[in-house]
Amino acid sequence: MTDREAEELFLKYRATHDVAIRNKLVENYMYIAEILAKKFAGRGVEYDDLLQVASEALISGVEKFDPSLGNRFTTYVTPTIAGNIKNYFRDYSRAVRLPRKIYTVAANVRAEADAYFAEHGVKPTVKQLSEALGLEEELIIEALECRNPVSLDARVRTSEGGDEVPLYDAIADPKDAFESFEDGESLRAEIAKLDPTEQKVVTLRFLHGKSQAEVGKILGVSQMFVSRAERKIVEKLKEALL
Amino acid sequence: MKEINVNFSLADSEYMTALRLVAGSVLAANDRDVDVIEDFKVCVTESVIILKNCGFGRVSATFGTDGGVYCVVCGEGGEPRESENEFSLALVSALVADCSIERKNGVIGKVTLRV
Repeated sequence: MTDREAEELFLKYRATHDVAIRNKLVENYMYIAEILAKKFAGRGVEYDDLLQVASEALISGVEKFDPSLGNRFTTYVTPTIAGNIKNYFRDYSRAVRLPRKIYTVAANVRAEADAYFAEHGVKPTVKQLSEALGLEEELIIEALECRNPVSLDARVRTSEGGDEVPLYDAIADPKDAFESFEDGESLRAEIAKLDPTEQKVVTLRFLHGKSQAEVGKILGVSQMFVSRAERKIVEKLKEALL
Repeated sequence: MKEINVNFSLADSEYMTALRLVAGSVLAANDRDVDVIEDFKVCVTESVIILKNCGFGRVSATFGTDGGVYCVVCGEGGEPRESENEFSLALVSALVADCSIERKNGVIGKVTLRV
């Protein structure tokens, strides 16, 4: 299929939402999903699983692509598929660090802590959470640890018995220009260029998992200030990395 | 006074989670609320990062209670050097009631946190 033919099919699909046309386009571009799945294979996740993730992203990409915006489909969909594969790795790395049950407990702990705060005006202790949820204190303490997002510097084991590597090594290929936004090194370099206050906001929000209100309290500014700063930071990073 | 000590190589950051769990457990045993626990864990983490940035090879964190709860984080071994830790220090100072930093020849070698 030539680029011209593909563009016509995309336009036709957008007008009709005909699944047959969508499938034809997916088949035509399946090679991209296969290439990317192969590229990320051998890091502790089966190729077939990665191909499934890549294929789902490809289908979603075909459904959303608008050729009238002037982009080539391959340019549009490659970072999307790579991003989905990396998200899969992120979930996988979390799954191997802590059992899934803990995340369910963590969600219950958060909900109970919020409910307690709404009723009493102060946050509960671990003992109070334990009594309210009927869970052992040890489990509550573990669940509290799950509130923190995984750092890109966190070390993960990508295969059983394999060496530990930084998470950003497991999920990013620094040689691939398409993936600059998700490349840990590039991201950290751009964060280092932010002004000191913005760096503090990034660290507190995304490394330590603080809420906007908590960040505001620590930095002595309003939650609105943090919200505006966060939006500005994301725009800066997008501009620099995309 | 009871103390718990955690000592590990800074080359293996997997033990950071173990350290944070100990920090959470000590404060939970002291009946502190979940926000205090979260803030204290952030400070313990940042203290270890400071010592790692300063070139130490191992870290020793001693938790204890004496009316309040304290954690003394000391760097050991490695090749200590001066390092830029402005933000980590600001964060630690902001999140705990009491914090002291000890330097030797300009190099941070010990952080004491108290809540």
